[in-house]
Amino acid sequence: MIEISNVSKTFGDVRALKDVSLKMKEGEFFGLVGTNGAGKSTLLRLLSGVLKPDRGEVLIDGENVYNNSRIKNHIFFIPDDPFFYPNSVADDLADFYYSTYIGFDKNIYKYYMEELGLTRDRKISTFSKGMKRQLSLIIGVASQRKYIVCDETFDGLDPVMRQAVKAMFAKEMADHEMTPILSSHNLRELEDVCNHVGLLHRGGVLLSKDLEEMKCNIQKVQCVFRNDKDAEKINNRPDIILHEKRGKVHIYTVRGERDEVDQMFKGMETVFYELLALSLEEIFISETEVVGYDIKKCILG
Amino acid sequence: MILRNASLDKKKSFFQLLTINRKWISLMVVFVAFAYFPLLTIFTTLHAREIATHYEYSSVLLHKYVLNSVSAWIGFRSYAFIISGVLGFIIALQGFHYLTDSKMMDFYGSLPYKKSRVFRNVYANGIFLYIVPWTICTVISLCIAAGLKMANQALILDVIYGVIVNALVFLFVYSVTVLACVITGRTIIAAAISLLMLMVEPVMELILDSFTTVFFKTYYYSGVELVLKGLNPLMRYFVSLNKVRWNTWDMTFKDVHGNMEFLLFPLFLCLLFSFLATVLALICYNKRREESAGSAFAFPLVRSIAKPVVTIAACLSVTMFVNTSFSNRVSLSTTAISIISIIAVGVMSSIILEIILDMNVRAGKQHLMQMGVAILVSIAIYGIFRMDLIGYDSYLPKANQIESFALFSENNSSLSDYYTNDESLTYDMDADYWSIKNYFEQHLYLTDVDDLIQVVKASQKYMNDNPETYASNGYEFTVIYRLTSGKTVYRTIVVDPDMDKTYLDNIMGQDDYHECAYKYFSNDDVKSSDSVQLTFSNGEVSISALGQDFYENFVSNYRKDVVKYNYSLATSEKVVGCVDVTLTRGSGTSMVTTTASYEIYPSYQNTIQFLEDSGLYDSEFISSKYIKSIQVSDYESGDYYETSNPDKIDEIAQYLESSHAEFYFGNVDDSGTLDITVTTELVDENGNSSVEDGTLLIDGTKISPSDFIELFNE
Repeated sequence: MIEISNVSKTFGDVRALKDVSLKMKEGEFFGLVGTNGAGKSTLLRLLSGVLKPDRGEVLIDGENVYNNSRIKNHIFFIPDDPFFYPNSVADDLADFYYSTYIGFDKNIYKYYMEELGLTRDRKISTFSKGMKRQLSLIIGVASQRKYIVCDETFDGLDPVMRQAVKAMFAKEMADHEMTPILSSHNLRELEDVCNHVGLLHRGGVLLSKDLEEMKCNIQKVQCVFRNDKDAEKINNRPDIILHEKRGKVHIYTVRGERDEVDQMFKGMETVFYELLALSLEEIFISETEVVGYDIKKCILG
Repeated sequence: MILRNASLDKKKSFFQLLTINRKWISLMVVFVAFAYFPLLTIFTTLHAREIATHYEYSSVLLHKYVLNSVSAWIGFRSYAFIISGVLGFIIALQGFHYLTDSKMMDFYGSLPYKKSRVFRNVYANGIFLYIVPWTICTVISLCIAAGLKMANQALILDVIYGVIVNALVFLFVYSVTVLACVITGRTIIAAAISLLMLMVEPVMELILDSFTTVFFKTYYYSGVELVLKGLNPLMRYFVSLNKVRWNTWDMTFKDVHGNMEFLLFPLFLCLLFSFLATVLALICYNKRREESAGSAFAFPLVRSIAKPVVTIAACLSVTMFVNTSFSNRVSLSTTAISIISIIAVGVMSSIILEIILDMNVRAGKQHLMQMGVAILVSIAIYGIFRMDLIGYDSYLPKANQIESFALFSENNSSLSDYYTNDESLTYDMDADYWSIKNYFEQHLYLTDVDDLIQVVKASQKYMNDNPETYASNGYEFTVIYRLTSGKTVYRTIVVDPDMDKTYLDNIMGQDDYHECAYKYFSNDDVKSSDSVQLTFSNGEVSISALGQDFYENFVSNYRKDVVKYNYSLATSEKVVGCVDVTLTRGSGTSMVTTTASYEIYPSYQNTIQFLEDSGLYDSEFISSKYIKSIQVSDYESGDYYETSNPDKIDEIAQYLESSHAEFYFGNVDDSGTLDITVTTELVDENGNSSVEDGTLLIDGTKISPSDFIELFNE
């Protein structure tokens, strides 16, 4: 369990994080989303014990992570631009982490290197950006740490590799207890893997919610009313978050459980009525617009 | 691949992982150590052997010579410590480079280690990378020297000391550079701060010493006062090393150990400062914010200290330049130019430093307060020296504060000619009489403080009243005050030529003064010498005689005469010549000669009689009896005159005097632009004649140079 309480971090005159509080449960796939400069990297560095918060505390399994070797032993941090020793090959890196982390699984390392088609004895400096990213992720997975903290996870990966990496995470989560904490500035990249999402904006947390919970509480409805009075009644309801009209078709985003919403529309005279699946971005748009943010400009690219 | 798999199966410690990943710096150290030790030891040994063979040294001498050459290359007196220091600097910068790179900080910071453990491992790893190849290569060198039969057991001790000495110098530079890395955030700034910390004391000392020289009339330069009293281990080590490095050792255990003792204190300082720097670095490392990687300084305080220090050094340096460019350093215009220069350089250096530190042209206007403080401190330091606010030139201890004193004139005594090349004397600082100041410092202990105080007061007044002319008209003396507090203070005073001579007569007329003003060789010195030679010279002639008896009789007569010596005599009589006594021991390269000079005043009748009886002096030296021709050339006009007429020579000779006369009180060279060369003929007791050329001076009390030329052409 990771608990971030009222954490603030300043770099000179720039306030990177301001009173950030978040909780990340074990076993869940946490996605951290935010624009460039939102504070994602800073938050992940704080989580990994690389940086010390100016204020507040970052507790992992109840202990402060900064300068705590026992807790840091449970974390593997992959920064957005990882460091590799000059002239080293992939095996050197694996050798380093094999010696550093008890439990590093060299079979996993070898397996994924082969699966993803990476050469183990090739100099890392000759790898492309995407290959370096894959290597870091493989090493991270092979380290068998409880928490994998990865900044800009899919940066530089082609669509095929993105899927491969997602599959790798899914498999490893299924095989052993692992809590990935991934960040991205693009919400769509995290949509199909995360079960909890935190949204950072300008150094603060805009929201942090369980994806299923959000999906259950917001519904999207597409319908055509027989008469305008029904449309008016629906439009004036407080649980309508968004309303869009295309010709005679009304599209509503409604807060409430599926059954409640179903009931609400079944009481109306409709020519056509359908409950639609909400994408993660639609949920975010709905949630953030409520609090006054135009999230489209921020994270949907 | 099999090897790689095997490598993956073996776990390594963090220390080992660091070593593996620092292979390039390891290779560099190995290369340097191997090139310096095994390779160049072979070269040094063979080269030394070739030189010894070329000069046909005996086998014993050859062995000693080559042993010394090898010892000076791989032993503790070698200059390898400079390489060790440079390696310490490079290894520290490379090892702690990660503190300056945020990517590397992410890497090291995310490892499951405490910060202190990372520091300890990286720190120890740097020492390991140096010490292992260095020691191995030193041992290989020793084996090579032994294989070439150019080593003995004492050389083993010498080499062990060498490894320790080099390790300590390395440790000092390494620790200071590590501290610099920890308190800064960029490698180039770390390197600059490291150099600043290593050099700031000697540089500031040099600047302040230059200020003292420039602004204080009573400043006395004493080499031992400067660097030796500072705490910079490298400078102290360098000075101490030069005391022992150039001597030829017997290469015995005692010899090696005895020389090593000279270096103990600087090495202790190296160890002490290494420890302090390491502890401070560890504390700072733990307090350091990881995000400071890439910024100039990790702690604002360091910036607040470093920038003003550099600014002040720049301001004071330019002030030195200004003041050495103007003859009158205390004039109003020089003062105004100095202050304007300080402000201009202070502003410029502050702006430039800010731009460099922030890598931002717009940053120049930052930290104006620091700039102001640096300029004010620079002006204050300049003011202290310019106005003599510390009372340096008016320094005069109270009578009851002075335990003893020495008063001597370097420019007006033959003692400055006392010279020895006996290298063994350098073991004993008390016997290190390489110059007059050390001789008087060691031997002259006068206690008649009241007379001294009168002399100093009068001299200070004379110097203050005649700032433009005192240096050229007065007689310069050095005063060493040995205070009851144990402190020794050096000052230069310039005595007014018209001053009441009583006080100086009281001081310089004392028996104590006479005894220690001249170096009299002991009977043991004389008897242990292979030859004792007395040479009388007056510029015109130089006549020598050999024999121990000569010296004993000469000293016996000289001691009878020297009781007359005082300030009045020294300023009223003109020296007729000097006697140099040279004691020689040994031969060839092991020959040791020691020379002392004794000036002969006309009233030293006992000495003059003895010299006449010994055939070393003739009152008619400056006459046609010896002078066969006189040549006069005017180096300004190019005119040349010559005469070999004996009558003319005698007419002219009465206006000439010994060229030695100019070295003593009250005598200046009155010859103007004229060079007077004389050709003399000396006939020895066997009737053999020899012709020599010499020089004489015009006696300005009798004739002017123009009248002298007129007389010459009549």
